[in-house]
Amino acid sequence: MPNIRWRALPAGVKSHLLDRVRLRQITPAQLTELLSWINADPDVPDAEWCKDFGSFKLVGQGALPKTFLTAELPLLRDPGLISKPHRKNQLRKLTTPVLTSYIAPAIWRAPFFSRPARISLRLRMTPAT
Amino acid sequence: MLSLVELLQEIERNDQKVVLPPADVERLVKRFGPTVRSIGTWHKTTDGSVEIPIANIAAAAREIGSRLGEAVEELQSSKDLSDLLTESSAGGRLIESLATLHTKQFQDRVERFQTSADTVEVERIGADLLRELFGS
Repeated sequence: MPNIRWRALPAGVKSHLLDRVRLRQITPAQLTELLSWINADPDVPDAEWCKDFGSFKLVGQGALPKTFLTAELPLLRDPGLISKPHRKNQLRKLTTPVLTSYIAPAIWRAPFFSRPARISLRLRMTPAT
Repeated sequence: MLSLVELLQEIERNDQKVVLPPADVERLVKRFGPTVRSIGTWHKTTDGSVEIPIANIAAAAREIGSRLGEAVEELQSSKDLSDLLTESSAGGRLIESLATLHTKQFQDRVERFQTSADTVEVERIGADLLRELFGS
């Protein structure tokens, strides 16, 4: 069981986390929870892992922390599969109790903190004839 | 000779810090649990030491009560902090109090980071938060 090597966390991921904090998408309490978890120096599995902090998740592989994801972003093997419900069975359950249920290394290639595309509808009001 | 109150005020005026060496940190973690790493800034990516402002130690001691006043006074005269934490019967309470204080200060910094309109300050606090979270 390795300990996390925080120095390996990419600088871009760190600054994006700060952006999310600044935009109040992450609360002070949630960031403090992250700090407490880091300071507990947790053991993580050799394989892929994920830790859920409510409004965001931290994913990594072994000792390497990889990125943060928004809470609503599913952890799938391939970001391209997000919109394909029939591939849901590719989700894999993680057995380590302290961590969250699903993992997916390939999602790390997706932009961190990305959100699913939003569909917007425009209603045009036309005068009744 | 300074009274305890004067001594605490003197400590707060100076931004002095005590560094717990990594070996002491791990010894205290074994005894009191991982909270020990949260009593100050844990240098997780370097030597594993913990840096604690003396003002925080004074505030925590004051919160616990007069029993630690003498101990803090001895700390001012360079007594080893880890000995104080280990030998004092209130060591566990002091660690809890220090961790609560440090956590509160971290949360306050995050709130300041979110509310400040001063870009220089935002940048400084941001760098500070990242250092606290992920090390330097």
